[in-house]
Amino acid sequence: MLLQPELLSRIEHLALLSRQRTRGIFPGEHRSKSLGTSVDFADWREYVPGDDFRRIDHQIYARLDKLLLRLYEAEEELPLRIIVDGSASMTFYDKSIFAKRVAGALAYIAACRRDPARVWFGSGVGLVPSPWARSRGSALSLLGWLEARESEGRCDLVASLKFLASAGVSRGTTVLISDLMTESWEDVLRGIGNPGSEAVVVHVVSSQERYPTERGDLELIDSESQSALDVSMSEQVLSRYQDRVAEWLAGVSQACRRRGFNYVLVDPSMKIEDLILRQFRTSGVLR
Amino acid sequence: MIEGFSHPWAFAWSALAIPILLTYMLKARRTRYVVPSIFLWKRSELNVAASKPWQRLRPTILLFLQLLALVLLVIVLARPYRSMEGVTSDHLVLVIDSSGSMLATDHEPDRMSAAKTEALDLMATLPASSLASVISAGSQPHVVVSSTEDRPTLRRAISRLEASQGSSNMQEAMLLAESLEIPNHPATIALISDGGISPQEQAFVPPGTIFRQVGRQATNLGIAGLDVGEAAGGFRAFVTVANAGSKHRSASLTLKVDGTPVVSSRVSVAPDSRAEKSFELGSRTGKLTARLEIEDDLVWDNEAYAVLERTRPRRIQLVSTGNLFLEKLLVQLEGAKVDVTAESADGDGYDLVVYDRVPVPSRVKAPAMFVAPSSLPKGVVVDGEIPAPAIDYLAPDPLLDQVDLSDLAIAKAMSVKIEASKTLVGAGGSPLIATWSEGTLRRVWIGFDLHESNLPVQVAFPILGDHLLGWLTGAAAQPARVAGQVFELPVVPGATSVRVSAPQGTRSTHEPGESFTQTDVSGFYDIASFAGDRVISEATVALSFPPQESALLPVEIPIGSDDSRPGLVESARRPALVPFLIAVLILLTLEWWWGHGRPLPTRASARSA
Repeated sequence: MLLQPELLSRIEHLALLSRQRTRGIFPGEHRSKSLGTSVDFADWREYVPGDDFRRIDHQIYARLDKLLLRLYEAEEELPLRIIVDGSASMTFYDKSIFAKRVAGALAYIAACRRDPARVWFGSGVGLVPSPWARSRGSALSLLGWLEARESEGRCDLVASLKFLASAGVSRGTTVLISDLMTESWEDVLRGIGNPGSEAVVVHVVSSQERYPTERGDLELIDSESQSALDVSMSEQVLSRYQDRVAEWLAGVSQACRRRGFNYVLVDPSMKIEDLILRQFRTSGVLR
Repeated sequence: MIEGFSHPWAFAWSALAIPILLTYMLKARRTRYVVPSIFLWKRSELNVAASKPWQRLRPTILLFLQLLALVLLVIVLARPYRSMEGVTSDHLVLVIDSSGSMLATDHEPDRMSAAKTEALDLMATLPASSLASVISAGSQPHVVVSSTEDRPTLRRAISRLEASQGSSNMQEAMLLAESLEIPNHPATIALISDGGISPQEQAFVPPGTIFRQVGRQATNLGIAGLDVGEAAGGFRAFVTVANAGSKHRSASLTLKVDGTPVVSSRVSVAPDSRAEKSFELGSRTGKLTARLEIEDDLVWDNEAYAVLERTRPRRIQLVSTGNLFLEKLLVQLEGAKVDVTAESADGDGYDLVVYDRVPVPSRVKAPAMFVAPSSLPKGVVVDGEIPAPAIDYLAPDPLLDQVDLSDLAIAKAMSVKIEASKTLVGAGGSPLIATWSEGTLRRVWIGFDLHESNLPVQVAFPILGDHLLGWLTGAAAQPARVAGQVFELPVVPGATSVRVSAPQGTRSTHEPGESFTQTDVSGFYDIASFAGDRVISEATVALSFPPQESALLPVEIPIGSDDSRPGLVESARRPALVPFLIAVLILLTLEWWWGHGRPLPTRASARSA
């Protein structure tokens, strides 16, 4: 089972935090750009025939002898779109299972709040969407669907994101869970959305990738492209590699910040509870 | 510097440069290792390369060092050599002159050091498997190292050689060198000397001997002789000063007795000539030192030593029925008063008594000489007569110095036995002339009538008489002795040991009558005879620097050729490996340090690079 029932019961009271007003289809729990039927007062406007006269502000009419209509803010659903990198590079160091757990947990949290959630799993076989999860029950089905996904091959995240954008799937919050180990990681970030979009980048990088311990003369094989590279793992080489990794991580973080994305760097060896209940809350992903 | 290579085929090893270059062009077989992605490794601009078996040859410091080390190693394997004059025989005998002239300072610091350098140079040309021996040719030549291949031992032995202040006995040294040869397998003999050896000794230098001369032109003014004579008015010193240089030299000559200056004079000597001076010293006895105040190439001959002591008896009694030869001998003794009597006398009140063919009283109270006495003195037993005795024994004793008895003829002699005596001249097992002591008094036995022999008409007679009479009175005139010369320690009645204090401050204890050989230093040797812990007699022996060693001018020794004896070879090959081996070692160390030991660059320096 992807997520234990104990964990599910602990996270179901959480909710996705949206910094912007949403524009959903169905009513929900998130403030919308539209006016609606919530209890939060928004404004007045003059009554025009046809308006629901139950919303006329009688106190204003008694004082000013004017028919003004009370307007309330609308609360709508927050669609959640989770893109999981299912390429071969994610099979290392439990990154793939960790990514699926994170995706499942976020989808479950959203569904419990009646926010529709859908996972797009990108692998060697293409970008595969999951069924929508709008309730706890459908979220459990999504967890089963996620568990059945296999990470393999090469996933062109840039092309996948372009496809999603062209399909008009841009409302709500986008969550990208990936190791971003591609030359075109900046294009991937650009493909998530325009600057200011509601997006979260969960960057999965293991400590073994940051601090390799191998030594000697090696022929490194890329797990996705199968291309090879000769490297003599000396102290000098490893020191320079670690410098480059640190620069890369800093670069990803800065790029996300520039675009207004929420960036969370995670290690697949950490406990999923710690990530969901602590790090996502301190990072402003969940509340 | 390098004149050729012994193993030129070793240059084929240069082909090893190809595999070295290949190791830089061929990539090493690497372990395949699958990683999530290689894009971060590509970005690292590290020591990475595409997966091809070959790579472009990039010149590096390591490659340069390895190729240079290979070049040097190949040169070492090719055995570079220098051609030079050297020895190629199986055995080299080095005879190194260690006489006093080798102390001359015309070489820095002295000729002996130059001789050692010559010896080491010669030895260096010797093949590694060859033997070498070293002989120190001083006054008592000896083998320092015999027939060894051990070069460190040989070098140590040569470096420890020191020149003595004595003269060299080159005859014995050369005989010693030849004795080291294996029969029918002559060795190479190398004589390293300044050439200051006599023509007689030169005759003993084997033909074919390599002669290496040391010494340059020398300036030396030295004391060539110091003789002391005793006259009625006291002592008189005769000093001979020799100039062995090519320039006129003069110096101040001072004579001191027991350290107190007695007389001083200026001596001026023409080049290659001598000057003699005599000095009245008075009657004071003691140690006489003659010193020249001059700076030249040899300081040791600027001093000479002698002992001032009375040697002549003042009152002599001749008990004889008439012997003209003896009377003349005794009368000629300077300052002596001779009383002749035919009556028996015991010598009481005399310094010396001579009994000639007369009975000897039972007790003689003075030193005595017995010449064929009619009754025998104490300790002498007669057992017959020897008709026409032929001399068959001559003792090596200073009393017989310059005494030639080869033409001595005797009609008959007494055959006697003398208790605790020393036979100087013997015939048929019986002493003809002998010496012994009776208590503190000395005795001389002459066992034949002088009239029945031709001794009185021999040149040896006055010399022998002078020596014997001097010995009888207890202080024979000391012959002029030189450093390196062995002398016998005195036999004083009752003495159990003799202690010798040498000029260099050393003390040694010996048996009475023993030959004292540690005479390499000139100066005064104080000799004390002990009876238990008590000193019963004291004497002093003066040894001066040998005058022949003052002639410093290097002399070429004419040496005949001998084809059977291996000599110098003009084209001896001397390996020239050491500088190359050192360079290889340095290069390999540098290569290791560059490849492994060099500290990694810091991040800051890497960035700046």
